[in-house]
Amino acid sequence: MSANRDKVVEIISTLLEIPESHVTDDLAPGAVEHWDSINHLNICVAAGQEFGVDLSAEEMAGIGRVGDLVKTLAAKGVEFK
Amino acid sequence: MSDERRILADITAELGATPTALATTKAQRKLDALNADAAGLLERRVGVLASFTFDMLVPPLRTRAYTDGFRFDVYNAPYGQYLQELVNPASGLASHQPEIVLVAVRLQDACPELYYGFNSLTAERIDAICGQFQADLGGALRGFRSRSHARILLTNYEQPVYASLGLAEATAELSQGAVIGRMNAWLRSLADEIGAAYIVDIDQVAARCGHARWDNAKMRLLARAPIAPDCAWDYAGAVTRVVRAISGRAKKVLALDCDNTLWGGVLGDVGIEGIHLGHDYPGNAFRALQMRALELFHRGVVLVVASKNELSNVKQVFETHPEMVLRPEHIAFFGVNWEPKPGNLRRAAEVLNLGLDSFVFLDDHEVECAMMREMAPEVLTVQMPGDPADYEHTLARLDCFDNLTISAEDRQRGAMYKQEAERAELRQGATDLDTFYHGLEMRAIMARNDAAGLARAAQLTQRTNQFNMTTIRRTESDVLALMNAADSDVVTMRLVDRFGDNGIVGMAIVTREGDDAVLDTFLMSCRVLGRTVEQTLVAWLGREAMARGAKRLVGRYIPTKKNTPFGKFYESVGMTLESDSGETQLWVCPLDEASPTLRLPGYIDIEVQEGATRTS
Repeated sequence: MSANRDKVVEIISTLLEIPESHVTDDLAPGAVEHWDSINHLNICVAAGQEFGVDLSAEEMAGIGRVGDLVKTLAAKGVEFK
Repeated sequence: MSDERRILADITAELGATPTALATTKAQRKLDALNADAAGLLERRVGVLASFTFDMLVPPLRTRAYTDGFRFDVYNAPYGQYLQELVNPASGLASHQPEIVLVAVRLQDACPELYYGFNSLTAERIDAICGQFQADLGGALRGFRSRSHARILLTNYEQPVYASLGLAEATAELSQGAVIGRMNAWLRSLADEIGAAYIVDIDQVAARCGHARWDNAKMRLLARAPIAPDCAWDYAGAVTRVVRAISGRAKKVLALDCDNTLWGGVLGDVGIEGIHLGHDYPGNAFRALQMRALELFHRGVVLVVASKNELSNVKQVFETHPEMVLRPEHIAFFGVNWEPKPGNLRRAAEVLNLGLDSFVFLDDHEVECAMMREMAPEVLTVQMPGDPADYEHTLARLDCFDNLTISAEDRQRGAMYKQEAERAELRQGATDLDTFYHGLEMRAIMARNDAAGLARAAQLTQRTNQFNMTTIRRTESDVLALMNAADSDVVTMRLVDRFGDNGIVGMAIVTREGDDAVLDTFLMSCRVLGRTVEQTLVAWLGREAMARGAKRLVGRYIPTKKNTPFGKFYESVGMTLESDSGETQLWVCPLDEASPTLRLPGYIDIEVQEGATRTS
């Protein structure tokens, strides 16, 4: 587990109020009560701040599960090893 | 001191000046678990009425409120429904029974043409747009006010990021800035009119953050959430500083370390000639900090020095170093010795008669800061950043020393506390109280319904927490109304003694109810207590009421966490408890010469000044 992956897990679990162990790549909005459109933006904003990247509106809309967020961040140079 | 206070102090320090959204939310979760009483938090039900998506601002608002000493229970109304929420007595807002209502209406949302279509508007059309908005919001707020006593916080309107007129904005008679300025002036007058309403200066904080950074087009277009996430903490601070000021939670004392805070270098090592202080870097960075501190002093903030040093060396710098901005006359208390600093601040709090929770402590040293948070967590401890160039902004952005208005007393208060510390020394010198009281050569100047004391009178109701028998907060317009009313008198008391003018230190509002003269408000600045001043004021008020035909003097007492030390005051001056509802006690005495309550202690000469506000 890389430190950056841990950070993603921390963001998702904090903002959605779920245990860190529930955060997997396949976790998607439909499965979590608090993952609404506002919190989706909150997650993208928090990830942007923590990793120092800027996600476009299109990129935010394209994130359908945790794995997509990781992929989007990785494409912007954030390392997940 | 409770662990809860310490946790709050540590989390506040960790958050720092620019926390991320993740840090803010994490802190909020931890702080939600604290016991409010043990942590010294005031609980407030807050209703938010916004013209935009406010959801993202709720966590920063609640977290920042915690760091300022409040737990907010927030009701966030659906965006854009502020008018309905205000006028509907059965709205979600109404059922939340808010103590504070934040009306976060952006002019960009309510009157978008003023921002995005300005160039196609005629002067008449601008008037019509502004007039319609004023009628809508003004009307809704007046209606709401008739049903609720909640404090109303009104966000004002910011300048456009990019002026529609381009370069001509600077010279046009009818510029966008002028129109927005006019709307801000209207909002101020509306706040005055509806009472217990206060301006949240978003215009200022947006400028501070930078308008181009403040307005986040992506979030605005995507989610109608225009305030940039990076500015959310600043937005929250603009709101909570008002809540702090209207709740008597403003900080009053700034305690400053010396070495590497007020000047560069260690005085004991390099001597007075070797410290960095002057007009070139890095000496000018320390001067810049001192100038900020002096500005606060002239706004009424009491300055204290807390340093591990030889007192004589530090005094020598204050007295003789040519580049010092702060001089001995600005410092109310020198806590300079080799003892731990928390003890020195406690001693300063005793001498100045101010609560430790009204102290801010600045020090460059990590260990000193950690020790203060550990031993005195009620003090707001701020560690200076590594680069002295950042010092002045670190102090300036604290935003915690606020008064709603600045009165003449504020400009002199720092000096008054200096005198108070000298009086404390006299008290130690006098062998008995009688000699001490006489030695003070006190004069009380009573003013009745005097509009000149209006700002100070209102401020006393907002700031005084301890010797305040009813703790009813009032605005200037509230006090003016009481001055003008036939059945009430507003009395202020100025105290002068041989050390100087203490300014207006006491205040009472007396209402006439049949044969009773009722002390609706009776309060006294704590720094003059213990000098028979409070007994003098109540006796004089009783005598005045008797001269006007009242048969009884009635003192109301509403206990709070802060004023319980004075719960026995009315009893101590010979009044008897007539009733106690649990919330309010009524203390009474008959108005006749035999009544002990009317006995003037005799140490204070009294002068009376009638105000010009009312002719009666």
